[in-house]
This record gives sequence, C-alpha cells and structure tokens, in this order.
Amino acid sequence: MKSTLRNPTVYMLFILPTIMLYFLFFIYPMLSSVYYGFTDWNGLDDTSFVGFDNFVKAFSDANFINSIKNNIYFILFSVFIQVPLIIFFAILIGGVKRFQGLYKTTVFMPSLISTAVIGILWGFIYEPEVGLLNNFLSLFGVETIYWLADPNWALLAVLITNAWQWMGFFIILILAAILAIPKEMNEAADIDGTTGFQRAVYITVPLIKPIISVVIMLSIAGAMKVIDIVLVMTNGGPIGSTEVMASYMVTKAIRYSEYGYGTSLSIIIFAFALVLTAIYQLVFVRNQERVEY
Amino acid sequence: MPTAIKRAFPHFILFIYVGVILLPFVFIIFSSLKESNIEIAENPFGFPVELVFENYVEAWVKAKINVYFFNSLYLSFSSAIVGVILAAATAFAVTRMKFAGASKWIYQFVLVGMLIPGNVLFIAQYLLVNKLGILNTHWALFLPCTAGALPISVLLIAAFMKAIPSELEEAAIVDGLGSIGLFARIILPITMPALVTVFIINFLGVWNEYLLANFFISKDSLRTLPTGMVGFRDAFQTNYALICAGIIYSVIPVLILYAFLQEKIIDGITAGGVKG
Amino acid sequence: MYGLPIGGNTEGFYYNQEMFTKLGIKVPTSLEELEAAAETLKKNNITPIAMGSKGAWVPLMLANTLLGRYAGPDVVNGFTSGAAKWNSPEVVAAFAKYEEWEKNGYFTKGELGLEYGDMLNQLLTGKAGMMFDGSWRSSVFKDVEQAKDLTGKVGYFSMPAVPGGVGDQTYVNGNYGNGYGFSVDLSESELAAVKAFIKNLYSDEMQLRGLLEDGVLPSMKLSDDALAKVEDPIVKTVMDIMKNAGGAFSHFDSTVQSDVYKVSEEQIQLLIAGRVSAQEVGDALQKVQDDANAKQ
Repeated sequence: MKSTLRNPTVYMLFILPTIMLYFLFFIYPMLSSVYYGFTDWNGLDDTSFVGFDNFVKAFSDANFINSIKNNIYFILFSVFIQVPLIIFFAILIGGVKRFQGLYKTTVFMPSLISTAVIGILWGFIYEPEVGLLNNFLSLFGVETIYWLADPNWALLAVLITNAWQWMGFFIILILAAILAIPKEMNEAADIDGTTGFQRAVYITVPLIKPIISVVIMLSIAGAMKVIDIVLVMTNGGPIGSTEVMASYMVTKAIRYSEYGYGTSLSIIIFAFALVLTAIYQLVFVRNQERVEY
Repeated sequence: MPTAIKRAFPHFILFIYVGVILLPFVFIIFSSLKESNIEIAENPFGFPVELVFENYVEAWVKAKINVYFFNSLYLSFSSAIVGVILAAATAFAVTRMKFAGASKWIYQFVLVGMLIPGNVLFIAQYLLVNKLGILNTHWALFLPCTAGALPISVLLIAAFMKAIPSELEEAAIVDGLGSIGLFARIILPITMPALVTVFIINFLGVWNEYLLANFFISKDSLRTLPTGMVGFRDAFQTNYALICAGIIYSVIPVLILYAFLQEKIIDGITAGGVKG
Repeated sequence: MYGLPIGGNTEGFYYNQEMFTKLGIKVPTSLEELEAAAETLKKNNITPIAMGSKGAWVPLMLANTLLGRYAGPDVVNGFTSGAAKWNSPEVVAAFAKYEEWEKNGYFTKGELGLEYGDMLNQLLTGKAGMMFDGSWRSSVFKDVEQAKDLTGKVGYFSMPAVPGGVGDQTYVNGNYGNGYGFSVDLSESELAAVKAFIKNLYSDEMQLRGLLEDGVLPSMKLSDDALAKVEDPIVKTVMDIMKNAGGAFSHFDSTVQSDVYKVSEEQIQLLIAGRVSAQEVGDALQKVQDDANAKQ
C-alpha cells in the first residue's frame, strides 16, 4: 500500500508543472529584479552594472520621496480611519438579527468588482459639473470642488474611493470572528446591566483582537500595493499628488524605459513592505496575550 | 432610551451605510439611461425623463464589449481551471503522498510567494514576457496570473486536504486504485468545496486584473474587460451616458455570479483571509 | 536613415468669432488687446482661454510661444549650448506672464484634470472664447459632425507682440510634425519604390491636398496658384500669417534633451497649480539643463 503513495513518477507529475510555472513566472522575475536593480538598463544604451547608484538616486529623487509620502497617507488612512470604522460597522451588523444578510451582502459587494471599473465609476461621481458628489454638496451651498484636478483634494478623493471598495471585505472578516463569539458572553453581560457600548468595548473587541490584527496587517499590505485605482483615476496626478510608489515605479519603467531604476524601486517597495510587517509583528503582536475563553 | 429606538439605531446607521454603497450604482444606472450630458447635469438625482436604452446598444457596439467580455471570460476561466488542477495536484502530492522530506521543502518554497506583494514583480515580468516573445498575446496574461495564484491556491487546498483521514485512501488502495486514480476518484471529490472556492477566487482575480492586462496587451482585439473599459472611457470622455452604460456592462456579470455564489464566495475569502 | 517631414504646423489662438462680435471684441493685435479681450470674456462668465493641462505638452505649447516673444526667437536653440539660460530675466518673464494669466483666472478651472480633447470641447460648447492650439486642429472647425454649431465660425490669430519682448515679434512658432523615415540599406527595387513615394508625396498635388483636406502646412514651397486654391478661412489666415512672419522658431521639445523636457512638464504643471513661481521654474530648468549639457 505504501508504494502507491510513494510512486515517484506520479509525484513528479503532480509537482513539476506547478514548480516550473511558478519558478519561471514568479521566482525568476524575483531574481532578475534583484539583478536589474543594480544596473542602469534603459532599453537604449548599453547596460552596465552601477552598484547601489539606483538606490542612492531613489532616496534623493524628490518625486519618489513624494510617492513614499502618499503611501504613508494610505497606510495612516487605512489604519486610523478605516479600521475603527470597520470594527464599528462589524459590531453593529453582528448585533442585529433582521437584515443581517442584506447588510453582509451589500457591504461586501464592491470588493468583488474590478478596481479599474470602480475607478471609472467614481471618476464620474467626482466629475466637477455633472457628478453626484458636487451636485449633492451644492445642496448645502458648497462650491464646486475639482476633486481629481485639484492637487489638494485628489488624494483624499482616491482614499475615499479605495475605502468604499475595500471596507466591506474587512467588515466581513471581522464579522465572522464576532459571530464566532459564544452568545452566552454577551447575554451574561446584558443581564448584569451593561450597555451595548460597554459590551462592545469590554467584551467583543478584546475577543476579536487576533482578527483585528490580521485586518491591520492586510490593510498595511494593501496600502503598499495600491496601484490600479491610482492609474485609472488620476495616473498619479495632478502634479504627483496621488503618485504612489508602485505607480511611480511602473511609470519609470514603462513610460521612460528606465528598467534598471524601476526594478531598484520595486526592490525598495518590497523591502519597505517587509520592514513594516516586521515592525508591526514585533511591536504589536508580541504584546498580545492569547485571550482564552 | 426607549428600547424601540435603541433597537432601531443600529439599523438606522447601517441603512445609511448601505445607501452610501448603493447610491453610486443607482446614480450610474440612472445616468446611463439619460439622453445626454445636459440631462445628467440638470437632473442629477432624478429618474430619467425617458429610458434611453439606445445608450446600451451604442455602448455595446462602440465599446466592443462582446470582444472584451469574451476575452476576459475565457482567460479567467482557463486560468482558474488550470490553477485549480495544478494546485490540487501539488497539494495532494505534498500532503498525501509519502515524500515527507521533499514535500516540506516544496511546500515552503511555494509559500514564499505569499510574502511578495503584487506589483513588485511587474517590471521583471514585463521584461521576461518581452524576451519570451509573448508580449501582446494572451499568454502574457495567462502564465503570470496562473503562476501568481499558485501559492494561495496550494495553501488553501493543502489545508483542506490535510484534514482528510487516511483510512479513505487505504480502503481505495486495497480496492486496487493507483495514486492517480486515488487522486481523481477519491480525494478530488472530497476536496470539492475548497476547489470551488479556489476556482472562484482565481476566476475573479483574473477577471478584475488591470495592471498586467493594461501593459502587456496593446492590441485592441485581445483586450480584457477592465482595460477595454478604461480605453472606452478615455475615448468617450465627454459622453457620460455611454460611459455609465459601459460600467453597468462590466459590473453585471460579477453581480450575477455574486447573486448565485454569494455564500461560497464570502466563506471562501474569509477562510483565505484568515489563513493568509 | 533619411527623414522627411509630412508637413508643418504652427501654433496660435483659435477664437469664437460669433462670441467676439457679440461682445464687441476685435481680433487682438497687441498683448494689451489680448488681455482686454480676456477680461471682457471673464466678466461675461466665459472662460477666456480654454485649457486642458493634464497632459503637460498642451500648456507647453503656449509657454513655448511666450518664450519666443519674451526671450526672442533664437532662445530655443540656445539652451543646449548655454547661450541661453532658462533663468535669465527674459525667459523668466515669459513664465511670469503665464503665471499672471493663471492668477487672473484666464484659464479653465480644474484644467489639471482635463485632457487635450476637453480643451477643444470647451471652445466648441461656448464655455471658452479662445484656445491656444496647433494649426492641425483647423480641420475640426469645418466638419459639421465635430464642430456642430461652431462650424465655420472659428477664427485664428497668432500671439501678438509683447511689450519689452526680445527680437522680431512677428516670428511665429513653426514645427515639422510627423514624418517618414527611410532606411539607407535598401535593395534596387525598394530604392525605386522609395523614390517614387517621395516624388509622389512631395508633389504640388499631394502637398496641396494635405493642405486643403487636413490643414497640414506644406513642407515645400507651393506655387501661388496652388496656394490660391485654399478655401478654408482658417488655413488661409494661417498661411497669410506665415507669409508675413519674419521667420519661425521651433518648439523647445525638439531642441533640448529629454531630461530637460521631462522637467519642463513637471514645472509647468506646478506653475499652473501655483506651487512654484516663475523664477523657481527657470532655476529648476536651468539646473537640469546644466546637468544634461555636462553629460554631452
């Protein structure tokens, strides 16, 4: 019997195609990124090895620093504005009986739609003259805001659209954890005369800390990955106010053929993401005790 | 506070949130049926004066939606199917077959892929695809997308397979099945829920993919729905009603899928999110 | 490799003739009149100059012509040799004038989010009274499908002389746009085909056709007879302007290094957004110009 499951031919057959595909289109690009990042390849002149020049250039590149700043805004917005709202809405949905299915279905829906299509959709909503938002705001006497054309508003506009798309996804994740909490806990507290708010803060939230941690991690990772929504809505403009690291990297590589510099930027992005993850794990996750109940 | 109000309060807030989610769609639907930009400008919130369905016909023709739709459909489907088969085979080999040492390394190797954020490999993949001469063909999308989905797919299916008791296999082997037969006739059917979930996740991943589709394909007849829609928007910038009709076309297929498979999708992605 | 231009173009102001008549504005012949026209339009809630600056090349057309006026027609050729400097007072004056027009609200609001096509749209829908664009646009205004109500009602004038401007103020911007490239490495029959092609394209007949049908300025001198065949009023105006101009100056995008051009794209948008001053633009451009010149 053991020999059936020890059949090397079958083993190879089942493993090889996956490994080959994965290696060629995943591992190899990873390795070649590291290689190109140290060259000055620009598609035209001869390529030469330039050591760490690209990396030094990156950190003195005002436009790249600007894009890092924008990614940081994305992270801060996700963690400090979206996450609390996500927890709030998840608790609300978890606490109601009627319409719970409706709420779940609706809030999750936008995360399934292509980010590019959502970019087009919201681009229309932000339209200065004809769009929904300005027409709505004008009811309150607010003057026309050129959402995607004004360097002061464009990033906020993109952040709001991004939140609209993704919050539901995270709400569902946290909701799953909330619904897993045994009912007795809340019922006991209710009998003791606590308010809903107290129960939420002192019982629910501590019990879902692990999933909140996952959500924060995913949010940070997502904030680093942002690219589609930026490319479709503003292409990094106006004047770089919505440029993020990934979009800047893609522009450098595709529009300006600066392959060497572009790949060095992708390495920096990867390093950044790794460092942020590590910091988060060390600072926040270590300090958590396992909540037993 | 009176109990009735206390109970209604969450619903009140939630209804507003649901409204915020749905309003943009309602706005788009209404705008798509309006006659022109002027009507949209003058009557942004209102129901269209006349239901101009011609906008949809015009959008279908001008935006060549059937072309983009078909491209997206067959690419997503084939990538998802191949991905599921490859991942299931690998997961089976790694969790059920007795090559513990090798399996451990292979599993870790594949999982390394989960660490890498999406876009980091883009440039290198572009250069690779160019070198291989498949730029501007559907292979340029199929291969990287299927490869990229492998880590999470293997992870999910392997997690599921690990829980299958080995007695099932023993019984089958006694009945004379070889390992391939075992895989196909016993294990796969049991793993079906995980397979379906992985299929859906992969399908949606390719269906909604924009970055590679935009830069790896420039021939119009090969474009996928997201890139086709963006191209349409850029070409018809000032005809908002048409653009709205285009948006509706892009969104309907996903919504239909969602209506039927909602439970599966939510459960699957939740499981994936928690494990990942 | 040999390159031959298909045709030339120039850049100037298109304007809504009916609107001008209605508001009592005459075609500007001096900077003062141009700015007065802008003020009149503004008072009547019409955008004086249509603009879509999402693609930086669009506002750079106007910036280039201002350079030709304020710093003289030779300036665009002088940057790479160091004979002309981006931060010289004359060049900065050109950017300062652009800055002034921005601050006065002469350009479309929200321009940084608008594309080249939107700029045309503003003129066509009567939202704006003037538009600075290339002569290649002229064919739109005789096409009822595109121009609708404004068909045949759009005129053209070139940037007027500016007070304190350097050099001949009648010079106009002149560029050679798209062209054909021919490899030298050809076989007998290929060479014959190329020669026949050149002969065909550079005949009076083809060049005239390009002029009459597409408004593309000829890249060779045409006889007066041929020129007399032009009926399109805009093309006629353009040809008259070119005949009476002292000469032509090119767009700096064909004379400076690509690094410098890229920075000019960033800087013009920053200037439009009010984030930098004209002097800062000049300084930034001169810095990258110095770097680029040193590399050569």
